[in-house]
Amino acid sequence: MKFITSCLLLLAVLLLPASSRAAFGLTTTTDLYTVDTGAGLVFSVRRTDPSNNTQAAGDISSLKFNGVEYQNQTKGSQIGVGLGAATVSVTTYGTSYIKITVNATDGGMTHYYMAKNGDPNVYMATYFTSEPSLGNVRYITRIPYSLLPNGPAPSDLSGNTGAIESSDVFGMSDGTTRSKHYSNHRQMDWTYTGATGSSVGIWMVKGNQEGMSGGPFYRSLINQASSGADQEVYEMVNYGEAQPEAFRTSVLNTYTLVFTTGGAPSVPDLSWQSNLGLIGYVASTGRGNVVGVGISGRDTAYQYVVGFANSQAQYWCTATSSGSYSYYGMIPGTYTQTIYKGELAVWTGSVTVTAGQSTALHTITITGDPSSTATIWRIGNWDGTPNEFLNGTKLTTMHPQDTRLSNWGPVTYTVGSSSTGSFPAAQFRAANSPTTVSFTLTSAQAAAAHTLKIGITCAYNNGRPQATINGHTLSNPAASSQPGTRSLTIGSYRENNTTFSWSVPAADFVTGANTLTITPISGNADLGTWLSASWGYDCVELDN
Amino acid sequence: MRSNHLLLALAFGVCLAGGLGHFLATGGKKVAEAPALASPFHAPVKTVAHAETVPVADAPPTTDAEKFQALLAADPADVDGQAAGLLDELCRAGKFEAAFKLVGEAPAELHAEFFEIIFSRWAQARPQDAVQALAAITDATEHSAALRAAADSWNLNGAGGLATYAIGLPAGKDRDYALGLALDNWSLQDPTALATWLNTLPPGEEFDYGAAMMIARTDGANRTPELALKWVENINAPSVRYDSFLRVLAEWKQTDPAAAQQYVANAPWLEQSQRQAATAYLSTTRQDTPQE
Repeated sequence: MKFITSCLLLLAVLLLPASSRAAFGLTTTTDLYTVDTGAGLVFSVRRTDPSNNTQAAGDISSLKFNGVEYQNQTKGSQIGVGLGAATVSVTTYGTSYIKITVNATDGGMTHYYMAKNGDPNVYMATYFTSEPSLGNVRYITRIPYSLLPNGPAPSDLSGNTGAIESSDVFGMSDGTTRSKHYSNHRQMDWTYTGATGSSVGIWMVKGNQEGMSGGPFYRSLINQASSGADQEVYEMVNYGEAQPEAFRTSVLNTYTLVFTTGGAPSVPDLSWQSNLGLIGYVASTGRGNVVGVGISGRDTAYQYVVGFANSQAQYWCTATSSGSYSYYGMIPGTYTQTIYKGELAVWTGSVTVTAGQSTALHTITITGDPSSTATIWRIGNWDGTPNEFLNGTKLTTMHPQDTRLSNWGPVTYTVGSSSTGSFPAAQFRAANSPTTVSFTLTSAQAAAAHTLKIGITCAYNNGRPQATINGHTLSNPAASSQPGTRSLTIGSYRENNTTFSWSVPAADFVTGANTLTITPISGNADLGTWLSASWGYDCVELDN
Repeated sequence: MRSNHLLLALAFGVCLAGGLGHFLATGGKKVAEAPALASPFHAPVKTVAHAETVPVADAPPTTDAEKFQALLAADPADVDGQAAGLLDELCRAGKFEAAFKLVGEAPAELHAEFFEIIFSRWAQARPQDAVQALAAITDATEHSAALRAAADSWNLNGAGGLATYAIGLPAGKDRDYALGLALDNWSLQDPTALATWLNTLPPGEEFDYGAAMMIARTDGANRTPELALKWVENINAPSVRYDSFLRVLAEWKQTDPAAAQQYVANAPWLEQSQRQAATAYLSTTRQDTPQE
């Protein structure tokens, strides 16, 4: 009997949180719109710009989940550092949905906070007609670190010993490095980011990122944390570091702040948002699809990704093992279609998408894979990444000076005996130059001219290779066209893939042992060891 | 040891001496126009059931032509790309002319795509032969597709050759496309050679485009700011000239701000507003602020 009583008491306690939850609804005060999602999450959005703290009109000022306040009360969760002058209004849709609309003049921006009855989520959408003066468009959720300490380690600055580069890359006492930049993932690889605390998980679940820029392999920061400060969970609507594309405007960007009791979030259904009259919303009926039968001429060792891009939107999908691919739900228009081997574009065409229809494409034959060229030797392979090289897989999550990396060199690579993994993933003028390649040629090979190719994935400070063969310096190439920002030191090796090639006359070769040295050149002064003229390697080869 | 600077200086000197001949081109199409896509549109096709049209053959096909015809008979729209694959295989074996002839056996709607494959491979191996063969293509759309595929491919290893070929094409979008590709890549790979070639062009849009491209791509590792300014001064279009000037000024500001200020103060071609803006720019300090 005592056992049964205990069980009933326990059951009552377990049921208490659910039964005590308030009903879905909106409370309006002079300063706030407060939404109870009916699912344990109650959030408030400021209607006014108070003078007594740093929160601003349009900011989230409160995020209470199961009775605990998770919003940093000295700051708002907001786009950038706040939208400036903004008007805030609300619309309710019966007992199903609530929409709070924030209008700001800067960028012609409209930002929505939405709630759906029974979902512990803050649904958001952002639309702007021009790039706002604040620069990048980033939604920052600010949660006190003490409440949400378990986030991505590469961007957790707790215990750092100070900045080692600019004001955003930090060193640790053990020589490792941390930065918000190192929270990045390729756009195609992540669905959500966030962190957990005691009985809570707070996650940003991204939408399809059709309004972002940079394509499937673009990386941007998505988190920053520090003990004593906040766990910042981001949605990058657009971002400019190492950004090879123009920003997209006049497209609705959707994303969702999801609360759980600690588990990973599921991707929410957003189709109900078609009822809310969102600016820029394109319903599924107004979208079209692309279905490709196949891609021939693939190297099955690589993943093939198909990208679609125009000035308004971007999409991507991966090809199946048979080479077929499909993407459903594109905004109508004509898109540049690019097929990537790894991250290297090997075919480009165009495709027109029509609302309500599927555009079927027959098998595409790839003719632009540089790996099909016969070579005397090749270091690495053409895939648009330096991943196969020394430190290649670590570049995205740590600074080049991080003690977890192997010594950068200078490296001497011997064709035929050195491992691919000993060739440097990146070449820095002030750190590991020159790189030397030793190779042998037969008398027949040495008697002919050959083409030398150096493929790069990014470049900083106008860095490009000067090649010298057996003491003969080849012509200096010009600088490749790249974004004017940092790259290799902020977790990105990928900007504009570029190939430098030289026709090397037979007179420069000798029978037997030959030496190639690769040295960075640039007309720009270097800003430091790791901010010196540099690039990331994709492949180096001497053609037959 | 080769002296690239000396070669480039020589090129500039030739330019300064006024050694520009009359322009060969017939039109004045703007080369800077955004280039078209690297490969032409692939028309959407309806997926067809393969089995329903497969003919029953008495004997397996033996010649390339028979194989090609059999593949198209089985899959008239070449949905599975096997006919295209055969053409690609022939091209990889160097049988470009044979592959080219086979295209005539295919439905017209497949010609452009097949020409793309053939001319992409052909121009990579034997560009001069490939562009000669273009003359046999009478359909404008197919010709354009083939020419652009050839240009894409030729440009990878022979931007200079492509530029020389493209400048002789009739004015039009295909010429703009090929010339734009070539100048872009040539300015990247070998600015010294491009400079020498540009000196053979008369004043005009092509010269302006090439000079601007070269100025944008090069820096102190290829030439001095003073030499780049000589190119700037030879650009005809005022807006292109000023944009190029600003690029040189940004570099000069780092290396010799005093000389840059002196130039800005005295350059006769600068408008007053431009002079003021340039002077203000030179007075600012270098910013390397990271983005948030």
